[in-house]
Amino acid sequence: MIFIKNLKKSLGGKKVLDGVNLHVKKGEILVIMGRSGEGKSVLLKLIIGLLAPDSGSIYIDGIDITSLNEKELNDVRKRFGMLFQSAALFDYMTVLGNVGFSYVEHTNLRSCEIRNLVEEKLEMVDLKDVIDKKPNELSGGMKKRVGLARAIAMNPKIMLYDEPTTGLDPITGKTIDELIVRLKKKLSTTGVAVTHDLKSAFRIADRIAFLDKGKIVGIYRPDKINEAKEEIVRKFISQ
Amino acid sequence: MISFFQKIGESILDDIRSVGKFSLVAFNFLKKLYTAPPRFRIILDQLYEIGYKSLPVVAITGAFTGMVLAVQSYYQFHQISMETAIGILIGLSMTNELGPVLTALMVAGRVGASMAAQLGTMKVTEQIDALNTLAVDPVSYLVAPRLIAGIFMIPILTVFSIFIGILGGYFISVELLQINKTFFVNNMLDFTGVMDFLNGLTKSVVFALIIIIISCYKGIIADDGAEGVGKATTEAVVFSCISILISDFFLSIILT
Repeated sequence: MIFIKNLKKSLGGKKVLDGVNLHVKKGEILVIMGRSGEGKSVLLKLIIGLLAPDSGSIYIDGIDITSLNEKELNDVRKRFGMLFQSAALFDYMTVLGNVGFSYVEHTNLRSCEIRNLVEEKLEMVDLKDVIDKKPNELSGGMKKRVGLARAIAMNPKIMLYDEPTTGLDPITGKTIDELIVRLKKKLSTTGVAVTHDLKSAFRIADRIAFLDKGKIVGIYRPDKINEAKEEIVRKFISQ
Repeated sequence: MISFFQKIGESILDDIRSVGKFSLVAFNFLKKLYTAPPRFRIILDQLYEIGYKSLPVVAITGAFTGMVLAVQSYYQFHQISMETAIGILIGLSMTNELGPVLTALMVAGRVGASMAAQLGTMKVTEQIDALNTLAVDPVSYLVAPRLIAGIFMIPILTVFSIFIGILGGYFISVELLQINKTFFVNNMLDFTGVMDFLNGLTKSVVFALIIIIISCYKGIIADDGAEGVGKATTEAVVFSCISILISDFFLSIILT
């Protein structure tokens, strides 16, 4: 589904990714963990083409997205949904405008049909009676759910989650994790999540990849990560 | 000593890089007008934002400019008994210079600042990244409608400002300073031709491009959170105003 080969990226003269190799299998959620500033979010942005790598390849369903032009890249992006750390809702639009954005831009649906679809998606993320609210009227957890509803609007094949529980209280964070797992099953999506929240990673991950010094140092099943030999991983999970 | 020259060299290289980057982005903005034209509904929103909402400020600026021109020129012309030339002065000044330039400066302050702040906020809160992930090109969606609306509305606002300015000048000259109405109007019409009006309109189109491109560029490259957005907003207004005044000089030479 997603193949990453020898990916390198420097930002502001600093080598962030130094030869990342990764394979995300169809139907799984792969969680990328690592210390802050190790380039986890950069890797996520590279996967969806928000950043261009210095070298290396990223294959999505066999297509190397690093060699695509803008239009071709946008076609590939339609297979993705992304939940941002801050939810990144359009603050000048209502929830209806946010969740229905892709329908307005990529389909010819009428406004009543869009409203019905948005209500359906909001129901999938356990939200109701918020459709006409603006993002500033919502709590942090609700914003994440709306962000999730917007991301799944076009039934994407691949979901990217950037720190899905950051800034949320533990109970709300757990609810978001459960939602991610439930949606994965319901929509049969493949997921890549970036987090440094261990509990969250254990809840949603099928496999956990650990990023350190610009490289993936190991990939583990959540129940086997305790047996990791790499010192940095052992240090990280013992905290 | 070497480090002093090194710093100057680096600063010059940075400036050249910035100009190059700006030129590429500006070219991309204009290219998107053809390659990915925005939908009419989004343009309509911007026509309202840029045009309708700027009407009061442009009207006040135009009216008072015309009135001040009348008062100032009256006392000068009165000394040489040429008060009836006030109409010519107001007509020529408003159409060639004051109408387009003051309208552009006011729009740069009101619309340019708002655009830079809005796009800058969208940039630092990842909303522009979100647009990309939703397979929507941010330049076509955010910049192109503003460019089209600006190119269309700023000349209209300029015409409005010229009209209000002349009306304000007429009111002060004829009603307050008791200048003969027929002389005022006839002199103005005799000396202010279609070409003067077209000069003003040409300038307003160039100013529109300057304001929208600089403001959108500053917004779209903003970073460093709230501070970055503040900086982008200030720079958008300052660079737009300076560019308007400099380009006005060259346009005046070319057009006259």
